[in-house]
Amino acid sequence: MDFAISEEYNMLKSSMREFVKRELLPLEKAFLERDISLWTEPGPQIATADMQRLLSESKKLGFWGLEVEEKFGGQGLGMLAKTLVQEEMSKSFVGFSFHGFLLPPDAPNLYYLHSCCVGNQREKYFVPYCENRLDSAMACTEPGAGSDVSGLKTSAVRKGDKWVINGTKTFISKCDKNDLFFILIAVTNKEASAKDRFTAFLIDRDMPGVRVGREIPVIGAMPTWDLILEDVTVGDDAVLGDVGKAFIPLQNRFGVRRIEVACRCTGMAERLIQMMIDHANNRTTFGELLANRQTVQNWIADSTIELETVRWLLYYAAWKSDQGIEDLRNEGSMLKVAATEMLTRIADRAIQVHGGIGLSKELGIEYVARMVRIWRILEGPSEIHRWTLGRTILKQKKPYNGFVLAKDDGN
Amino acid sequence: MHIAALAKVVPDYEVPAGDFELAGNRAHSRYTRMIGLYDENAVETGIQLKEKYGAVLSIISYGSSADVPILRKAIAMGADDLSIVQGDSDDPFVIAANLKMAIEQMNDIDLVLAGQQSADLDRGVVHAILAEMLGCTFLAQISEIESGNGAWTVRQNHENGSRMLRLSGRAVFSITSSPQNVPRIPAVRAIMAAKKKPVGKLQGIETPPMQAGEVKVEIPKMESVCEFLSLDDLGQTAKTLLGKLREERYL
Repeated sequence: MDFAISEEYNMLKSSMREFVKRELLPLEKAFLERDISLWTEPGPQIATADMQRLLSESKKLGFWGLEVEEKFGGQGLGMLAKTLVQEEMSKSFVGFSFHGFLLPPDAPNLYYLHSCCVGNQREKYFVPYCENRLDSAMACTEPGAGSDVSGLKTSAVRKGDKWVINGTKTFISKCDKNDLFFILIAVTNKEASAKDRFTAFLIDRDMPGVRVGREIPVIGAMPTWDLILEDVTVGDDAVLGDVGKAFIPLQNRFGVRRIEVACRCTGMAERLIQMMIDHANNRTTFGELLANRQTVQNWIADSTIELETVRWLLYYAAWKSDQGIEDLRNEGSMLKVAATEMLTRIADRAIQVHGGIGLSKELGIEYVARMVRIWRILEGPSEIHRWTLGRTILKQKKPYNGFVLAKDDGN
Repeated sequence: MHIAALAKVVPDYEVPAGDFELAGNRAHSRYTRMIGLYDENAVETGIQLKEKYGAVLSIISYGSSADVPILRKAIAMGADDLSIVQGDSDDPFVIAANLKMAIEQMNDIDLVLAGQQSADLDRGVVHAILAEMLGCTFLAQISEIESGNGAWTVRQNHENGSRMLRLSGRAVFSITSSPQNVPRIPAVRAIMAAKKKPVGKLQGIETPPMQAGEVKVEIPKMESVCEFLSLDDLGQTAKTLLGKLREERYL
């Protein structure tokens, strides 16, 4: 087993670290201030001119589409490279938040599109998505069905050579964006088992019958909306993948998002530990530095142990993805739970180390605490992941086996 | 035009010097290593000259072959090749003599650029000794360079301003940082292609060191204490702050 980081990947990390220092950290003050007014004055959390500059600079440096194949304009470097870069980016509040700055194209839908787009779907959706000319949002959750997709009610009914879609989706992101399409999950055979019941459709935001409903304020910066579908009529060219076969690619797509959420957690956890170190080494109470208090030492030690435990599971999952292993459901579940719960604990300790200032909006730790609270629900609550992982292991009647046999190089 | 930029690999310069754990009078090897801060300004200056005048830019370093992966950042930034003269001396005469050997082997170097000082020992003398050994002009604290009519026109920064100088012939410039030579961030494709550029490894030469021996290294600890004052009553806070500044004899 080789745990060394390659020279190139180390340099990728350094480059992103420098980008963060020069471009993202200077925006943090305005970013955190904007968060306070987000719900009374809806809109982006980063000023348009700043966002344009970030997009332009990051594109010039080649950070777009790190995992996208070169033939589609990406760098073809895979998931581990993306993981290392995203982790560095997440050491800033701007790069950590899904409502901050994202490197296009957003990975999970990219993987889904790449594996399922056929015919002119590649030109119409996949390529513009890779080039950031189009954005996409997943439209799966419904008022009566979240983690349990078997409860989905939105239906796509065959009428002649068309599909007619009706239903209501909720917690759908990016609905305020122009040039947006949805990957919409609908029931096409309600009698079938979950694996054959759902079909994915590519639905443009401006199609007749597509209506964006109310925005749903939550405890952090995660703007989402209801999405109402009334007799939305599409042809077979809107079907993404095979009819009735959305379940497995959907699960794989969630697996990629879970890895990405974990990158954000490990990157920010490192930042918070650094903040704890700096504060503990400078703050004196009752004649003693906080750094000399055993409780504070334990908080920093425990945070480091927890971060490093998650970080290596993260790199392993990303590496596994690069080996062409698409089914990362177990790893995704483990990571999602471990990373979000790890950051929850570290953010809480970081607030505690900083005392009153830790609660302030200007320091940003409370922003992290609120965001990660969302992430313990988003993309599957911890309990669902524990349940599915436990169920899988019990069904196999063997403990999880993480080993992947090295490929025979012919020598 | 062939330009050489000198680069030294140093321990993480973002770690305050007083925090370094020493091993053998030097920063412990566990610290992250990187190209010196001003050396990156020199590399950036070299790349800009390369882009403007179609020059060839070579990176030359004195140190360990283990430094190559770190020095390759200069290649990813835009340099053409890299040479490392292998040696472990900290003596500025020994280092300068080894760099001179590498420069003379290249045979056609028109200009040598070096960061104004390293980020570890901060002596800022190697480039001047090197210029003396090469028998060419040395100018310190250079922030801008132009070439035309067989001469170099340069801006030399001073504490309170700058002056323009013109000279001809081979020269060694120590480069200071300026808004014009902020090191570029290596782009992804250049990073992935950096290993394709040639790396030369030269055996260091034995040469007499300075007549001075190191007895001891001390780095004083910088103590800082942070105290937060209550903001409940700004007037009272200002009075408290004034009182504390007087107690500490700052006022």
